[in-house]
Amino acid sequence: MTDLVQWAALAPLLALAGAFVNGLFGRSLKEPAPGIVGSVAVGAGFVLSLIAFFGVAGTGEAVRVGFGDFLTAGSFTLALGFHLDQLSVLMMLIITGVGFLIHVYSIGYMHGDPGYSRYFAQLNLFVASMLVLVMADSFVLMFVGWEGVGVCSFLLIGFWYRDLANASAGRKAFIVNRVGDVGFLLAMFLTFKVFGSLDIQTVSAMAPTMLYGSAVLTGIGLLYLLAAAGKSAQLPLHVWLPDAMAGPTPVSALIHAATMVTAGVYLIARTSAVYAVAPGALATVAWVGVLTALVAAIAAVGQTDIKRILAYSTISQVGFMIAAVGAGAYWAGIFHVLTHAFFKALLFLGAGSVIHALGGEQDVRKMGGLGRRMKVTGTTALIATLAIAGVPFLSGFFSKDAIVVATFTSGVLGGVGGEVLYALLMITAGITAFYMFRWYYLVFAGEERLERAVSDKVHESPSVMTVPLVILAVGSVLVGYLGLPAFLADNRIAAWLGHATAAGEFSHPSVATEWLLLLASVLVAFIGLALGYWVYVVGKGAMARRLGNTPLAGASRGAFGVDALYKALFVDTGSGTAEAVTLLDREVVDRGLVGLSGVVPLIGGLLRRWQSGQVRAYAFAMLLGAAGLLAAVALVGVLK
Amino acid sequence: MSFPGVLDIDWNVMAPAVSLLITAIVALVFGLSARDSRGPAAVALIGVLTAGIFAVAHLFSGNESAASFGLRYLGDVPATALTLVILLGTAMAILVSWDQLERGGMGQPEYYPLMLLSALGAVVMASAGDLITLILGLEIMSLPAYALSAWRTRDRQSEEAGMKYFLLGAFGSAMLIYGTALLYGASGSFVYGAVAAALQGGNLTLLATAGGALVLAGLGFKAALAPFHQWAPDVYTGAPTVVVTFMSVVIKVGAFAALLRIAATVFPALQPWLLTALAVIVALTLVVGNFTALMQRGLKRMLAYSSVAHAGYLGLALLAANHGGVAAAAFYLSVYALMNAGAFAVLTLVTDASDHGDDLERFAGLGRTRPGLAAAMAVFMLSLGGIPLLGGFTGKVLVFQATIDAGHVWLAVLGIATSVVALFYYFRVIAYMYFRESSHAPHTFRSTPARVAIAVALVGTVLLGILPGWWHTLLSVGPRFLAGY
Repeated sequence: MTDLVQWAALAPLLALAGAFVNGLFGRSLKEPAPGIVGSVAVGAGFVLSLIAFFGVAGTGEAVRVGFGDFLTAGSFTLALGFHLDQLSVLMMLIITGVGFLIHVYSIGYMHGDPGYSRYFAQLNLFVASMLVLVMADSFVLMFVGWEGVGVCSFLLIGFWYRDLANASAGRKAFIVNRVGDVGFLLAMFLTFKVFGSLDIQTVSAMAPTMLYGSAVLTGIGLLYLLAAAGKSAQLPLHVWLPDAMAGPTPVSALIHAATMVTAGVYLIARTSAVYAVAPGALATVAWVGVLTALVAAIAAVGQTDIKRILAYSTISQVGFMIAAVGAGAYWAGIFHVLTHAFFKALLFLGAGSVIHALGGEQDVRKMGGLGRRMKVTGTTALIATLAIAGVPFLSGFFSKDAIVVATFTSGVLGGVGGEVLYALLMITAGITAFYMFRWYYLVFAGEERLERAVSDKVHESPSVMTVPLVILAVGSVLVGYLGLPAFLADNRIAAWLGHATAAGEFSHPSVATEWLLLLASVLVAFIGLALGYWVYVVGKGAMARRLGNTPLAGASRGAFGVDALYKALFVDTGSGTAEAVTLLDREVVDRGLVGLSGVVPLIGGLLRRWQSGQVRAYAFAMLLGAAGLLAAVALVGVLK
Repeated sequence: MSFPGVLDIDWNVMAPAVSLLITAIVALVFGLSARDSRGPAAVALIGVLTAGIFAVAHLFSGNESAASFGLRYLGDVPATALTLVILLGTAMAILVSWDQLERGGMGQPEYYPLMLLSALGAVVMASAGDLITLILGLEIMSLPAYALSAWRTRDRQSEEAGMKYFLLGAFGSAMLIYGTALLYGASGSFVYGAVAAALQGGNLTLLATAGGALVLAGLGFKAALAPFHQWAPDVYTGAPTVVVTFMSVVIKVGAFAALLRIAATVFPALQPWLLTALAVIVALTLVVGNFTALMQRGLKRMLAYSSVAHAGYLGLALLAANHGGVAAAAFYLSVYALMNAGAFAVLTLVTDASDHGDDLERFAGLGRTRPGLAAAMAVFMLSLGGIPLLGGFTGKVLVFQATIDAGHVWLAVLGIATSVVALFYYFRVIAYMYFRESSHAPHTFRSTPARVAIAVALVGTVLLGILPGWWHTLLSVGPRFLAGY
């Protein structure tokens, strides 16, 4: 079985091969061909991941696939390899499974785009990088994937690069991510200094022997948190994700909802052994997650772009996941990654289907009633909306409930405001239900507010787009049952991931309390939905307009002004400095160098003159050289 | 510590050299009845491959202390590895010559036998464990090379190149032999290890050092170290490009293989100022090679000076022979053989049949007219310039590291500084290929064997750049280089 598992190492290579084929020969392929190549490459990766999954499930053992030593410097050896355990195999399934569906969907969505093959090349490259990220057995290789997904994200956000806004959105994402990347690099340096190794398993094995709660371990934890905040769009580095919606919608679904933005959660779960001995860092993780979840949820309420609402919702949901790993409930964080991958990809693809049908319209104020004319899109979007809102018996309910309960019972957060975090998350959950109701109602229900020219063209998307929607909808309902609350049934996913992550400490309240917490979660979801119903359905537009004039709504629309703050703090000072440096460079350095560069040809010219072409001159030079050497012998002899 | 008998012959060690010798004879006889030069080329290629198989088999047999003729002919890892590099360079030269000889009207069948004999000489130099074997190897290598330089008969430049090379080569050989005589006089032995042992604590080191200086000068000529380098640009320019492909790789490897071994064994027993003198020579070479290359418009001449510059980088490794310099130099030579032969191979496809027209202008617009060729050339230029992820970069890093370990920090700094200068003239080629409009008719000459050579060089250059570990590990044998004495 181990042999079969090793084949999974081919998954990233397949995606890479797809990227190569599409990148090099894509232009000469006829339209659906690049899409089919891309989809097959990822689909085959999914099959390999499934095999690996069953292999790891069968033996319960992690499998390492080594590719030999990458470099040796002194006592340091860096081995290249993949580590396939319960955690990485699960992530592979998400990446290739959801990735495959989104590739298929893209065949229809990108129809007729002049960059058709470029799109699939970059999407394949993304899948390859993401797989490397989760499969890597060392921080260095993980960083390769980490940077790879960053580059692909940049390329795909700015996919329609002829529009300046798209290109600058890509640039913004890239630059903000760099801040996190610096955190990753520094964390690696510190890890190497402390552990003497960058192999993740070695570090994990050594971590429990380290001094509990020491400053340096906390430092490592905080730096990895900075890295995670960059990639996963957490406070204070969340500003790039809403702008990232400039990319094609399937890209938003795959990269900026289902997979890449969860890399930070994966990173913290992967290094759980380090966090287990750095409780201060872990509590910070939880606080960052909860605050991000709350702030982003409030910001989501005020948005009017169909995708920006979902973008803030994604930031908020990833905040839930970060909160979960911060509480030490690594399984709950990854569980939410799994369920979120389904319903959020579904929401985005549904949004894409709507945008596709409306010929590019993205303002929810100009939509409405579309559920009646786009049956499949509307129904699947409703399922996803209910799932993310936390309605019982759908996947989002179970994973979100697990997170909320974990903050309440976490041993790590016991002394640092676990109850406060619990309360804040409950409020956030309520707001989530509210803004998702608003999203669904404004787009799919209520009266039609379409422009006439658009209205006539509205149509359901082709089946190559709707079939993935249906599959994702089924997933959005079912995957939650993998992680039923422990007091009700076997929690399969907690048991599964328990093999690969450190175990946090949790108090075990009585069954009655558990029921109470569960009911509270249910109640919050329904309060949120009911509030939405009250404001938008009962109160019609009037109440929404009245609420829109409050200061909180203004803050929500502007996402608390973080972007403006960053522009004043960093962008303006940055460009000021740049201008000063340019001046210095042009007036001092350049002029100096231009003066200096006159010297180089002078030397060259002199040396060239030495090359006369005469044999006797050359022989003489040799003679002089040899004589010089011998004269030195004589001189040294005399001096002695 | 006893000497093995002089007549002990380990045929495993000798096999690559013997295969080359036999093939040279077969190709010569075969050439009598061959219609054109392609038949002998095929024979020669088979011979080189056979020799290569023997060398690989010996390299992996783990029998590193094997030797013949009582430590006079060695089969240790550096010798075998460098033999492989020589064979690789020869094979590439054969592939590049395959169609070019006929195209240039130089298809006399003796070409390939001479080339094999010259390669044989280089192999002997790489394997030499004593000074006499070294001189034998040097002459076996040089004499055919003189003839090959003048291969384009009726072409004055080519004849001039052959003549110049021969006259100055004789001069260089004389120095080497004189130096050998002095070393023998001081130590009473020719075998490197014995020379070093005899000089320990003796009072004849001054005499021996004078001998060492002359040996350095003689081999420095072949390696094109300044001020013994001036033949190189003239000969490279005049000789047929296919021959330069061979010379620039194989003769350089042979010379440096011999120099490395002497630097690791004999030099430490001599007075330390010889190394100071060598440091000055290396610094001079780095400056002269790089700065003069900067001034060249002709690509062939630019590559000639670039090969002088690379001799300087290899010279850095000589100074650090006992600080990982041997492995660094062997690695550098492996990459150098690939990227330099690759660059010359591209050059043969771009220039005229008469080898004229190597001006930079000729490369303008190559990126559009021959995208594959231009891409390959770009990779070779980047690698020669030492850009990361290509073999040339790894080679430079290893060499600089060894130099710093040996305490010559200022030389390493000079090496890095001159590398920056080098980037300019390598990048200029790329700039011409991609950013200039072509003013020439598209280049139409195509040669499948040359393309194979370019592909091999390309793969090797990239492979040694991204996965340098295995080859460097194989080369890092440290003290065993002293041949078990």
